[in-house]
Order: sequence, then C-alpha cells, then structure tokens
Amino acid sequence: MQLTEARREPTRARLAPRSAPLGPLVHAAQAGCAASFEVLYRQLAGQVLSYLRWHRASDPDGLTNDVFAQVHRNLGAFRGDEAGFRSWLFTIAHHRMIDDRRRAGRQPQLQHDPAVDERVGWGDVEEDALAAMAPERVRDLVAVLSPDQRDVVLLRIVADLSVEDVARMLHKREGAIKALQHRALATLRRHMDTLDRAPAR
Amino acid sequence: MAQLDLTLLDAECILSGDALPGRVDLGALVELTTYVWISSQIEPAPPMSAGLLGQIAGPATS
Repeated sequence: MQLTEARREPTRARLAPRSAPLGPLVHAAQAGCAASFEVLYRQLAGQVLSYLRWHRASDPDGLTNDVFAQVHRNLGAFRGDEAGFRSWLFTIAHHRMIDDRRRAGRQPQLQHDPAVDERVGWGDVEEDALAAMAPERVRDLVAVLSPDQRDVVLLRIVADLSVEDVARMLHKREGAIKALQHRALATLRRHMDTLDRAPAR
Repeated sequence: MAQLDLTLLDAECILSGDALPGRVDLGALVELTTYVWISSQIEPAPPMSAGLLGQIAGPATS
C-alpha cells in the first residue's frame, strides 16, 4: 500500500536537502574543474565543519579548509562511488580532528554553537527536536560520551556513514560499532534522565 | 542502574531519526539525534581560505 510504503521511508531520506549528485562533481574536479570542486565544497564543507565542531576542534573553520586542501591534493588518486567519497572525506576529517586533539593535548573546549536557528522546511519530528533541545543541553550530552562512542555516533549521524563504513574507518568490526552505538544511546538516555531529575538552577 | 531496553534495530532507528511506535520512552533520544543531524545539515560552509582558493586554481594532483 502506498501510504504504508511512505511511512517506511526513513525520515532523513525524505527531508535531506536536495543537492547535486556527488559522482559527476568528483569526476569533473578530478579532471581539474575548479568550479566543480567549489560546488563539492559548498555541499559538504558545512557537514565537515559540523563534525569538527561537535568534536570541539580548536579551529573548526581552519581545519575544514585543511581537510578540503588535502582532498584536493589527493583527489586524483580517489576511486569510488558517492558513498565512497563521503567515507573518504570524513576519514580525512576524522584524522585531522585526532591530530588537532593530540596537538591540543586536552579534551576539546566548549565552543559549539550549532546553527539551528535557520528553521526552514522541516517536518514535525524535526521541529519538535529543535523546540525541545537547547544547544547547551545537546552539547553537554554529546560531551558525556566516551571518545569511541562519540566517534561512532557522529560518524553515523553527521557524516551519514553506514556501520560498515564506520567500521572500516575506525579499524573495528561491525559488531563492535553496533555495540558502541548501542552503549552510546544508553549513556545518553541515562544522562538525560539525570538532567531531567536535577533541580533547576 | 536500570538497563535501557533497546535492540540493535531500535538503535539504528534512533540514529536515523525515526520514532519507534509505542516507545515514548525513546522519544527524547530520537529528538537528540535529530537535533544533531539538523545542525549538520544547516551548518553553512565556512569561507574558503586564500590558501585553498589558490590551491584549487591549479590542477588536482594524485
């Protein structure tokens, strides 16, 4: 039945902003088309920036530029499809984030200010999420995750990578990734309960 | 400490931002993952640095 099928369609697949297919852009950029690389940048740099911000990188804007500079330098050697390109891009971003974390020699600083005020075109679930969540609360919740749990959750959600991709990127088994994301959600739920029970300041 | 009653499939749904029928207790988690996803979708690309702009003006390398 059509309605049933529509209900089965994943929320994010239905709501994700329309954008140009990555494959032709990657091929054109590989052939030296600077304009195509700029489109790739405009389409994906915000997600990379968001990934770095949720990890509280020290200079997310600068690191995002570094990521794309590395992508451009190595673009000729890339082989793969659209999903492969996303995975490759976020592998570079992930390694940059780890380098940054090591350089800083500390847990990242609180600085994320998600751009969630631009509320256009979302469905009920998304509007509810925006209304219910305060940025500070989300930031604090993400911060309670262990580094491994945070890596997995952010790569699954922000980078939109599959369990298989994340497993390959983090050099872990798929079962380990599933266990990490399960534990991450349990941790988040537990801390949400704790916050809800805490007296208002 | 109470364990979270959550299957691996439930976890996949939550990470995908899909509400689980009959699981009101997981609604806040779905809202949280949805919030993180939305924030990444609407984050504008930062300005390209002069270095990157100069680099892409030349040919891609392997």
